Amino acid sequence: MISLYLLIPLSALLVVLIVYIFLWAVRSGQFDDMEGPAHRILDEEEVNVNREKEKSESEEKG
Amino acid sequence: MSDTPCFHCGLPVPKNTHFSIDFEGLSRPMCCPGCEAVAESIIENGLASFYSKRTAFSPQVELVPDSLQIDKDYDLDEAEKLVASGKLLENSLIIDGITCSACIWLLEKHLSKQQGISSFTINYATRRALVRSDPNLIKMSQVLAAVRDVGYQAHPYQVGEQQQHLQQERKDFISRIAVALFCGMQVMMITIGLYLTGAKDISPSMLLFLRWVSFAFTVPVVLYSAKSFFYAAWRDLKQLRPGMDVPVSLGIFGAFSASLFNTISVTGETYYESVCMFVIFLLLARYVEFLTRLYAVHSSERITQAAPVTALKQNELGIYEAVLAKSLHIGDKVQINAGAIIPADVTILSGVTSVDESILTGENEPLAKHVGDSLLGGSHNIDSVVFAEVNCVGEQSTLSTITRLVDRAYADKPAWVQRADRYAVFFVWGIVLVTGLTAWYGYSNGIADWFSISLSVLVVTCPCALSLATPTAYTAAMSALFERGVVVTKGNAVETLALADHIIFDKTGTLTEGSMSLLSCTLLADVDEQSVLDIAESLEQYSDHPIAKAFQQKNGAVKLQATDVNYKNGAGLSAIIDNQQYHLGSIAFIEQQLDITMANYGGQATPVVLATAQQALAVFEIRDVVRAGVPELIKNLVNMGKKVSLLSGDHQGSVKWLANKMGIENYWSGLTPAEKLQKLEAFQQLGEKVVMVGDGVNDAPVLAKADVSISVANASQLARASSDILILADDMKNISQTIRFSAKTNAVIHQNLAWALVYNIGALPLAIAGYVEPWQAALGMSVSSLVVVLNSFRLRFSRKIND
Repeated sequence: MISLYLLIPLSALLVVLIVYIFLWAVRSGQFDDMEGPAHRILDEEEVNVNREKEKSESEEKG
Repeated sequence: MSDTPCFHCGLPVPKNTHFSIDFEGLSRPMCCPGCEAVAESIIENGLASFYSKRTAFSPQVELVPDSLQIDKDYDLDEAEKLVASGKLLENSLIIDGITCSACIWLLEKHLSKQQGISSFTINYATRRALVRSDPNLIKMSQVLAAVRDVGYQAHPYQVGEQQQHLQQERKDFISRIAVALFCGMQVMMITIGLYLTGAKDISPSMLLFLRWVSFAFTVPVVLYSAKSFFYAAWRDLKQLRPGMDVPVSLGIFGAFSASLFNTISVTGETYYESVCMFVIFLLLARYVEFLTRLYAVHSSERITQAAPVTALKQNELGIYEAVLAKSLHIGDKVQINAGAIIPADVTILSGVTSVDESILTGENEPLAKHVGDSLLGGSHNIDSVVFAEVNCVGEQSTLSTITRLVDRAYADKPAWVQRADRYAVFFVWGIVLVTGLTAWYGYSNGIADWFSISLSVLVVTCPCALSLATPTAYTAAMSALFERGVVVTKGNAVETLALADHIIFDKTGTLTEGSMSLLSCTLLADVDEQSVLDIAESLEQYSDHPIAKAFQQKNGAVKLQATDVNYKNGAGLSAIIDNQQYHLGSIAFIEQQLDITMANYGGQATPVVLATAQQALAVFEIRDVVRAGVPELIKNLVNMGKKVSLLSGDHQGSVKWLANKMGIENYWSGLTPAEKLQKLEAFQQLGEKVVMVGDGVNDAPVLAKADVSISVANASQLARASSDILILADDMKNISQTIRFSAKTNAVIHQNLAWALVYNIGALPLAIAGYVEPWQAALGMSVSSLVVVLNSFRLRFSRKIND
């Protein structure tokens, strides 16, 4: 039972982390297009390179 | 007519044409120079695998003359924006013509290759592209041209304020639901542990610890996730019109503060898990309702794109030339043709006409307009050519158009929401009253659990399931229909459609494809076939009637020049070629012009007669192709016991032939749009719920008047704007499926309402009697809501309706 005093705060920490990551995902637009990625995975390399490029650009900016 | 499909667009390749392209070593047939050019450009750019990836044919491509250069004006805007944003330019584009995911692949691939474009991504759901480009290397007009190269149309598009607002709201919702879910999960976990062991088996210090942990997790749920309920409740109370949010807030606040009190004083019960469950389920319910609203805005935005791109403006020489509608200035003189959309807010200088402003005002009667009257940009010129001066342009008129449209969609849709709100006020007062009475009775009689009992009453009676019953069913139905290519633009259309008992069809363009082809040519005088075809072609080039297209010969330019063209709407036209008067039109038209009587032609086709001033020269038989799925559709409708009618402006022979072939009992031919409207009103006066299915500009008033209006694939923009339901897929069977589906939706709504009422009424006495703990009340409330949601989602996932 004593272990709960450690485990519950730990799980609380985990929840805070999860919530933080989820909110980041929502705000950075991960949920804006729910259909596209399923199709894009079948595309060839170049488009993905393009997306990487865009991503790194936006990171530089932000 | 040949049945070979065009390799690019899938439309039949007309005979006597020789467009083709080599692909994978085979010569593929092409229907027109437009498709040929696009296919060539796709293959040249090394994107040929598009043709093996795609799952649907592309739209047919019209060749746009380079001289028009519509896009040049966008470059100016760009320069302005450049000042505002840093180095790379970001633009949103609306893309027309996307039919499957391979289109998106093709576009992204092709555009990303262009020099100067750093990224080009398309959102699958909204079909909108975001392009980042370097304005020094590539101009907007070049981007648009690149999109056109592979066969699509792109329009720059300003993300509307409302759209942005809704996107923000959506993100807010998801965030709040996520916080409530993750935190609520923890609280539930702890609580379930306590339920299972029972509070007595736990050491007091551990119990206290668990309570404080639960409290810590409930704080963000109450302060962040449930924030909007408190705001709404406060607003309602200030206006003395309490809605659902008042008991909700009371419940959340009451349960939370009582739990906190008991936690601090280490006594009694805590209700943290009830609070969390309550907030989670309410948020989910609100989110579902929000999604319905989002759909409405999306579909109304589609309508606003109907605004014309070009206008006919008078230049310095006094000649009217095509310019970009948005380049018009106040004081410009424009020519507005019959059938055209009015490019800006204008005042009539000369000419008399009538306009249809229903897209703006919802008023369906055509309005007569004289010199000096003003016409609204975006409304529709019906009767005749007018010349007018622009008096309001750009942001002002366009923006007002957009706002009015979106407002209309908002004001129109939630009739059931208003109804629900009215009842909710009484409901809420009832709940508060019952809870108050319970608390007072319990307290004054010294019942120890008085607080938890009244809390149970408050939670158990919360009309959650009741408020979810209708919106969830509608959203599920709308999205299920959307996947089948059916867009519902007015929420209650589904409800009304299920009750419909009379389905009326337009003929040309609705039951048939509206693409005419020449079936035969019978000579009546001593002339040769080629020369009558040439004469007919040169006459028909002045007509916008669908029949005119059948006369276009594919081998190059029109050979003869016609002058003094006199156009009689819908009947025919007369003109002079080489000093010789010719008439071309329906039998009735020729009989009237020449004052003769002709034999009756046209078994299954529409006859068109070419005549000189003295005698008839030839009869052309024009046939229209029946749309896919029409025979099944009519059979299905008749089997369902619906009355089916055909109202057409067409020649009697062809209407009769089609009606007989399809098994339609009631048909009327030769009707003007006004007569169609009269017929429809007559049916409505008999107490029938009438569904109108149409496609064209002339159907717009009838569509708007019908109880439910459906516009079919390739319908005119105006017809779409006036309809409640748009069939996007080119399969008419969708209509009968939609009707069957709407009946199913109504059944689900009734089940939901019945269940919610039974639950609420049944649980209330139990709660008052003290048999229901608060957590059980929250669970019961959640389960009853869940039953409603799941029942509605049956609609979403039922695939069998298709048969």
